[in-house]
Amino acid sequence: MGLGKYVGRRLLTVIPVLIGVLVIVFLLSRVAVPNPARVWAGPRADEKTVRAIGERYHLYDPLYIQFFYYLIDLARGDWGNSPTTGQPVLKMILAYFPATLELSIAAMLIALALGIPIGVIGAVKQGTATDNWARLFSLVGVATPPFLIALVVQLVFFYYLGAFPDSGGRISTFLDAPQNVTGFFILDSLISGNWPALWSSLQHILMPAFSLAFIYFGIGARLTRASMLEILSTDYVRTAYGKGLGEWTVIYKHALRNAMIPVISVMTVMFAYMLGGSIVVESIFSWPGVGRYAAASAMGIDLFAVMGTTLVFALCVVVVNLIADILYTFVDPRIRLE
Amino acid sequence: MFEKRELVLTAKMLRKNPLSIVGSIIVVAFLATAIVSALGGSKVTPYDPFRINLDEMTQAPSKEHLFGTDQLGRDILSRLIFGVPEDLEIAVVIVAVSIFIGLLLGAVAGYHGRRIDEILMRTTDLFFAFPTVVLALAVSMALGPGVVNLTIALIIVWWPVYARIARAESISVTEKPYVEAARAAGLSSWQIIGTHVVPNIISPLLIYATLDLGMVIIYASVLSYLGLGVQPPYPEFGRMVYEGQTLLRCAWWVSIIPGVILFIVVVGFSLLGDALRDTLDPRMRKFIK
Repeated sequence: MGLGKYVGRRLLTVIPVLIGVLVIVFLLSRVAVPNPARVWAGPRADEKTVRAIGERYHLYDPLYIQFFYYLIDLARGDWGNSPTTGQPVLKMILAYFPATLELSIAAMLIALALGIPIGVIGAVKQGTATDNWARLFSLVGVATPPFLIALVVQLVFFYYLGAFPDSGGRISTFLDAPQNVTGFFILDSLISGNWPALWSSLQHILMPAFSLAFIYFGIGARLTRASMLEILSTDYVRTAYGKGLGEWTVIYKHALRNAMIPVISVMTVMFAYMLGGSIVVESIFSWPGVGRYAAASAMGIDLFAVMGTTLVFALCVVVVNLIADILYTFVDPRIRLE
Repeated sequence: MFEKRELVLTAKMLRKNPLSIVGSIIVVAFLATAIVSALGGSKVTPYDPFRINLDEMTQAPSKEHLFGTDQLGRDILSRLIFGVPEDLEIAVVIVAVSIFIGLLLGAVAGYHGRRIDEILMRTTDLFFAFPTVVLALAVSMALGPGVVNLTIALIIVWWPVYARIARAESISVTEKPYVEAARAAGLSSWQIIGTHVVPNIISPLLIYATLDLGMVIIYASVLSYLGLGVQPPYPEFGRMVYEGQTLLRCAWWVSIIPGVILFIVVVGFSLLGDALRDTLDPRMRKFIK
């Protein structure tokens, strides 16, 4: 079937998941605050006021009607206001989103750059001490608590070595942010030729990106290793060796490309999970992203913000899955026939 | 469930692999500490884990205080020892209940197939649409802080994984001849599921659980770090890390040491779980002979 038809069919499967996600988030917010009218009216308001508020916000209607109004509010852009700052939640999430996206992409690149070679080495030297070291390293990555790696990195590089950078956040406090084109500081400073900003942004993103990557590179390494092992035992690889090709030629030109397919598809999904993993890392490095916003909201019991960020993260997972599936059909067109 | 021969093979494999020995030692040490601490409480710890002693605040690790003291003068080693049984209990409860739920739903879905299977798959898909931390955070917020709510929240987040594994195993078991024979003999679905399916799919779940125990502890710590879990003054890895964060520059041990201990424990469970999983792999068995 053509690409268009496949995309169309795939989009249809997204709809029930989206609805389910919305239902879950809606129910969670209802569980969290069972009597919103009372909370909004304040503890000293009389019964009449509470009832009036309840009527106005449809709180006495059946649950499915409330869900309907909830959807309308979401679509209108009203995701609630933060009780502390009074700012609309959606506006803040959108403002913080590019920072998280930039951090996650950087972390994903580092994770792949670290993980894939380790996986390949482990597969090629399977059973040897090198393999064991590679597997140990991958396991260490997965087992690391996110706050530990972030704090250790900060301690060693920032405090002890005084290496970089000079402050928290995305860019030095002494510099202005580069002109906003994409929202990604690194790209924006490249585009506007703002070299001090570029240098500072790169410095600032390195530690948090590395910390975030550390947790996920192990997954990539394990996947690569497993995938490579499978490919290396296939017939066409044996044929390549039989033809007399050198070991590295076989590995790079033939085996690796095919081994990468499952790795790439899983890592794209991991990317969406990494967005959630940014919560702790962003907090520790004062990275102004959605993760830090979610963490601060959790600590400050800001319900709307937590539910809003939850919804956004889930939407990201759904969208990334969709994109990954569609991209996969370019790699393996047979999928479209299923 | 486990044959004697399998257990002997497993022990042999574990002995051969140095990493699994390390993992076993760590896990055993952790369990032993938990048991001793649970039985003895604060009597077993070098110092009172709750006693605030501002004269001795933020002391570096020394002979008197092996892991140093925190900003309220509490001995960190004592706090860690005291907190271990709670963490273990939370993790075990979460994993056990998740296995129970997942095993049941997965076995039924895998056996019956079609509609029921479809429902289970769609439901777990829905749970997987949220990054784990995010869903745990949202449910935790909805339920409120505290250990019980933390446990419930993580169970809700965790069971789909076990349901998926159980379902996959159940499908392959359902196709086996002895299940068909049982059907022909006239056993009801529930009887078959109970006596044939469940016992045969439980061991992969348990192996996975060993690996998973470490992960659960990490998630419980992350949630406690964010304030939704074990509440102060009760000691917990993540919470202690958070509380010591502001002192990172001058008193790094307050934050880092609980984090490192947590890391070691999780590595221990992961090594052990990895080794156990390798023993299931038939190809590895040949190496032992």
